[in-house]
Amino acid sequence: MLRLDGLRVRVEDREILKGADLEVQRGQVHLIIGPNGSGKSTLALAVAGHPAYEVIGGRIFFEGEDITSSPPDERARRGLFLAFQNPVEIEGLNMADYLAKLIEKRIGEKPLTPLREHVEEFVMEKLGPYMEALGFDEGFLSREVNVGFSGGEKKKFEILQMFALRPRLAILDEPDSGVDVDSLNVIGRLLSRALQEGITLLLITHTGGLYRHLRVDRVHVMYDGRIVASGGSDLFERIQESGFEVVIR
Amino acid sequence: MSLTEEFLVNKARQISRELGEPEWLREIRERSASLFFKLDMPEHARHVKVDFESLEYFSPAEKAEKLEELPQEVRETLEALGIPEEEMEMLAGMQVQVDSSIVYQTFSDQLKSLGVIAMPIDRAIREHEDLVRTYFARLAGPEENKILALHYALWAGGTFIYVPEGVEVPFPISALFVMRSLPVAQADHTIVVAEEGSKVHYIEGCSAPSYIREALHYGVTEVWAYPGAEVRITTMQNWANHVINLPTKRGVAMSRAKIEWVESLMGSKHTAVRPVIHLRGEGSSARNVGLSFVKGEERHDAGVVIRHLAPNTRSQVISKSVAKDRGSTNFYGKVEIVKGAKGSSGFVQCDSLLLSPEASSETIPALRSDEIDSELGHEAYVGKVAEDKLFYLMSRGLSEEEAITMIVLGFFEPVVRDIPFEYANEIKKLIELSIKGM
Repeated sequence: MLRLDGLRVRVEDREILKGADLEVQRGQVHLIIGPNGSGKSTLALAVAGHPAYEVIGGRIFFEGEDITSSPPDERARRGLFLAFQNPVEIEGLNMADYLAKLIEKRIGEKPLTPLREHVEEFVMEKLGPYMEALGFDEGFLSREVNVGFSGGEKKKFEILQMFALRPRLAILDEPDSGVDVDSLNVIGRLLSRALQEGITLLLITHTGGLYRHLRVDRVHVMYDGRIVASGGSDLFERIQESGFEVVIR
Repeated sequence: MSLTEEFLVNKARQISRELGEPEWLREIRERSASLFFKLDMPEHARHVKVDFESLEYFSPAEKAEKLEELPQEVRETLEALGIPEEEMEMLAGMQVQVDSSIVYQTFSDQLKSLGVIAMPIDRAIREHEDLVRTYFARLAGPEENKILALHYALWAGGTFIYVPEGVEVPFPISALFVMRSLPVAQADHTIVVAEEGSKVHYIEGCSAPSYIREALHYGVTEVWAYPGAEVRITTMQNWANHVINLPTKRGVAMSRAKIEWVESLMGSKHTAVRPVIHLRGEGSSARNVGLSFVKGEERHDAGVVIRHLAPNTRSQVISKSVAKDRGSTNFYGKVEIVKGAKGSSGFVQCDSLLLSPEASSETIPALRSDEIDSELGHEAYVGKVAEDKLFYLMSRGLSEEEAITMIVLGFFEPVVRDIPFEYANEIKKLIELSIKGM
């Protein structure tokens, strides 16, 4: 589904990814772990197509197509989703209007009118159960995108957007950092549900907090801009016990 | 073409004759045509390059009699503004002044029964000559500068609104000007007079479809708010990127009167505008809100001048601007409190958002008070480049255009929120149209 061939990425004159190889199969859960600064977020942002992350070598394939130079919106329309580690605040952009637009993009349906009540009704109809599961009430829809959200709310809102868009592959950049135990459980449950609904998951984490909530198929260790080891759950257990040193050498 | 005094005076005369104007108007035109050659550009527009020689001032108006004859772009603008087809028919022959849907039905009957005059200014000159003459060119005169002189020589079109004492107009009065092919049509003249204790909201939309080659817009708006009157003016301008926009806007507020000016300005090659509001009466107030959006090489030099001339006067200036590509927006906010205007206060707030690293924005506050018992404040905020916001939205599958629209509308939201829903919606649509033109 997703394949990176020797991906090299430069950010502001510094080479961060130095030839990363990765393959993620449909319907699976993959985990990328690695110490801070190893290039995990760079990998996520480069795959999503951030313009400041310049690909200087290698290729990105998604569903068999080379998307290395596709703009970010095209990648999203192909079914790629990124849950941001640091979601961006968009002042003045109403949550209901925003979510309605994402839903419209996917299914081509619109609210009855642009009136607030119709937009909220539309969003509740399409996403109500997910909002409830994530602990968002209707008042949440009258807020502005990510503005004044707590860390946990931001992470959960990324998950909600994933369900609004229903991508083929979701890359989640540290969905477990900075969230409390309750939120972590909620996120874990919702990710299992996403998997059941056919969304392939690529999780990036350095805490491994979500590991116990999901049936992880494959674990990749990132270090200094490369994937240095890949394996099953035994690899994860080994690192939990002895640290990254076991695979870095 | 060489632009000589004789030529301009003759043209001024010709326009006056074609419009069947009374003598006093013809005299103003002739005098102004001569003044044009003696005066300098307005101070705030000295740096604006206008090639007066090459402008085609006087090509005869080609009138579209039917809706089908209106160019596609004009029709799209009208549609985007929510004006139904049957009303567009009404506009096709005009130059164009349009009453928006809500107004149109009630325009003649309800306004008439209230004693309100709201009509194209040339018709007002025929039907209410003395009233127009009382207010015409009183707040901005041809002797001030080159642009005003040219305006008073060649002006055509515009709106005249007169609200009698104590009358509260229950709905906004709106007009739409679509600049068609002739630059002569771009010197509209609008006068709003609100008598004591009256209340009115005038909304005007101006649009120049992109088929116009090189054009100059140099309209004049004069606003009178008598004691206790409340005047609200919402202007929505959407100019193609070869329009040079040099409008003049003046307002005067008598005691306890309120003037609120909301202006949404999209596009134009270069805009230089400096509305002036005088708070002449005790307890009067002014609120000036500007929204601006530039792209490509466009440049806006906007600003406002508010003079507090009486005690207990209040003013609030809010400017929100967005610049994309190599666009540049500058805002000059001048608020003066004269000696004796005790207990007065003025506040200027400027926010700008840059959508690219090459875009630029500058705010120049000029606050001055000669009265100790007064208060002035200023706050400026230049938002950093919104690249991350753009990527965030595009990573959700929104196109660049959709993403920019959302960011820009969000940025304007705190101001647009105060505007009645259907008009806020019109502003939103204009912004969308303007972004679409990128």
